[in-house]
Amino acid sequence: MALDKVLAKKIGKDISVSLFIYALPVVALFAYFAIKGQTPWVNNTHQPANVDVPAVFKFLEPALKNIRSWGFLVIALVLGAIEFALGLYDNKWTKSERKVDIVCFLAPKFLLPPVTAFFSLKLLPLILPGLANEFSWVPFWAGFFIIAVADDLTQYWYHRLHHQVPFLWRFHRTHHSAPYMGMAMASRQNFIYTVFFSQIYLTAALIYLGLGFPALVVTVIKSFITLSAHSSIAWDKPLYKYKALHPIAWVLERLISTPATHQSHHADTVGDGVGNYKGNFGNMFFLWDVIFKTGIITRRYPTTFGIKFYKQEEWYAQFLWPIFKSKVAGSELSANGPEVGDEVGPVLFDESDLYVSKQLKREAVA
Amino acid sequence: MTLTDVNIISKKILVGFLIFVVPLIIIAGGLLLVKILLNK
Repeated sequence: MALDKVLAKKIGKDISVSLFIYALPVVALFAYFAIKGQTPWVNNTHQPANVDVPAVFKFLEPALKNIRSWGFLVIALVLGAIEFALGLYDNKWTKSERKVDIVCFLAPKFLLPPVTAFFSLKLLPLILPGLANEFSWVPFWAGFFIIAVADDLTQYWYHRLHHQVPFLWRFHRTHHSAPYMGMAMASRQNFIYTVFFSQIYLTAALIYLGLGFPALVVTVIKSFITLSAHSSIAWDKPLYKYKALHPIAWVLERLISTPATHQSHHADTVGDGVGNYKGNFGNMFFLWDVIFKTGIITRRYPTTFGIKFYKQEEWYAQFLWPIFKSKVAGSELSANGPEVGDEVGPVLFDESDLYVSKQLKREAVA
Repeated sequence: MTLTDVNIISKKILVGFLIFVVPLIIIAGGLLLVKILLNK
């Protein structure tokens, strides 16, 4: 499967625009200091910023400060328990799905920290010698925008390329294979996809360069947005229901990923005005999809999720493909399995596939 | 794991590395440039 030429051209154009977007917060910082006539790096008089957690959320402070270690785990578990108690997983959370979700949720918590610690403590001082805390003079507001743009735009590209470049798709397939939405989906990834997440290393490098505190604040905000976007708890519903809240909805659905726009990305349909698994790639910010015209803004929620060619592969194949292959015949994850990509591809429909919708079957027949 | 798999993983790492290193050069280079230009 080759990359479509028109698509390759569009990717190239959008990457060029992205390079400019990455530079924007730095240009803004330059303009700010130039206008103010300040050079805070001369004596590095910059005071480290501190953001107070509102009293109502004080009980969350330890989890927020440790968001990179156990904090995320605890928040995801609590929210997952709420979903479970509300019965939002329905009866789709089968034994094999549970295995995939739990392994993908827990294993990286043990396997990833040694890798990122090695990168931060050993590799970065080698690659960028003498530059530790070089940019600690950057004010909090600028650091926040630099990290927010750098981290999330990088994740947008990492994610988008795994959909649009055919040979990358199978590393991301596990994230889309579940026929439901839920908190566990945020972590449901092939480990090779997770361990080479570009934005983890980019943010680690920026922390090494002195942007540690803004990175922590961005991580906390991003964790909440991405978890809630994957959640089956539709927190955005009231925004669409009450007219007075429509202006807020209008801004939010263009700025950040909401359950409606992100569930659309996990739908198993495209072109019906609700599902858009070939777009809506934004993670924290939906803005990238607006800028690059890869998104649809919907206020409805898909009824079916997942992928057409799902064969309920074994947990080890979903978690560690291509190191471990599936034994399921005809699976994309089996040895010499077809490279299907995220295409609908009616020719490849298999009657035994449980998740082929009736409408698409009709189209295939027609 | 076959040679083809190793090839796919290598290509994937290369794509990931490019997505990591290009923004890093823009941001770190940009911040260094801010210092240099305003120090004059």
